[in-house]
Amino acid sequence: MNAAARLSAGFARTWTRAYTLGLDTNAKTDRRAEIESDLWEHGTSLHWSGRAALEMALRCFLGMPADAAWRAEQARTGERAAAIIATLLHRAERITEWVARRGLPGMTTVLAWAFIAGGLLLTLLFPFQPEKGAGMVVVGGWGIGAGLAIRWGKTRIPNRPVSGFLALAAGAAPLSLILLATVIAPLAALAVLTFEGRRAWAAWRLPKEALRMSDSQ
Amino acid sequence: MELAILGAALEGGADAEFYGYAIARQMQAGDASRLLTSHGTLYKALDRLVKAGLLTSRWEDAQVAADEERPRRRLYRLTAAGESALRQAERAAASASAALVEGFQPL
Repeated sequence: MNAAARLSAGFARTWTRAYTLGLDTNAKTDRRAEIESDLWEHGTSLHWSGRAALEMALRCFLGMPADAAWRAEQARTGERAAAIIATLLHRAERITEWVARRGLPGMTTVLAWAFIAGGLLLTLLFPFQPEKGAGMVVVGGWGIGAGLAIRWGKTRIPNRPVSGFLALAAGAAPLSLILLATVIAPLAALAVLTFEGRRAWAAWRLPKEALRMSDSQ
Repeated sequence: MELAILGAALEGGADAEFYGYAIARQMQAGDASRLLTSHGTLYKALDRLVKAGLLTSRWEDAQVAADEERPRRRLYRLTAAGESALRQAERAAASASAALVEGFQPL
């Protein structure tokens, strides 16, 4: 068994244990056993190779938001929901404080390596094939370039803050674009629609009320 | 995701049983460019489908798994309601697609 595959499976197992903590016994053992079975099937089908390690890690990372959402759904129906929410809020407060003091500089390093690793991963998993085009290779190259720019910018900030921050911002642009497309733009669209909808509703309702008032007079 | 799971389940046979990893592989085979569905997305969707009555699930016999020296699989099966929901969704998609094509026809 490849050490990386064992590490990925162990990470997925630990994550599953973490997000199922506090659930009732049935839900907890079912989810843990199901992930255990999946990891085994996945690892065995790819002979616990490096590819298995990468795929298992990716599947675990990419599924984390869904896992968290599933966990929240379980909590809503459980008796301990209020206690869990209170604990989570308390932890979130402490995490926010830590992020503000120490996390942000560390995060740029993590982000840089994540981009570099993600870029390399895409380039390795989807090598250039003339019939399929170079889409993933371009995205992979972009990721590697972005990671290197963030890394370089961070080391430059103490001595040359302007060029350091510019490099960091340029490197983080892909992430900003993703945030813009998935969070900021939809929220802005929703705000505009709500505002316009309320205005249209008021414009439609006003003449009717005026008419009703003139009728009653 | 839920429709993709139901579609892949039906491809395997209406009465066939399947397990999480197998369905993830089958969905990937249907679309070669995609990665295997992540654990969270897959099992959350399967959980919802079971709760909605579109799939049933059971744990396989422990002895079978022990004989093959592997962890037990959770086996899912498409219900009649699941099959009918899938057909309905396919019909709706086909009619929407036809309406769209019709809208682009020259007058």
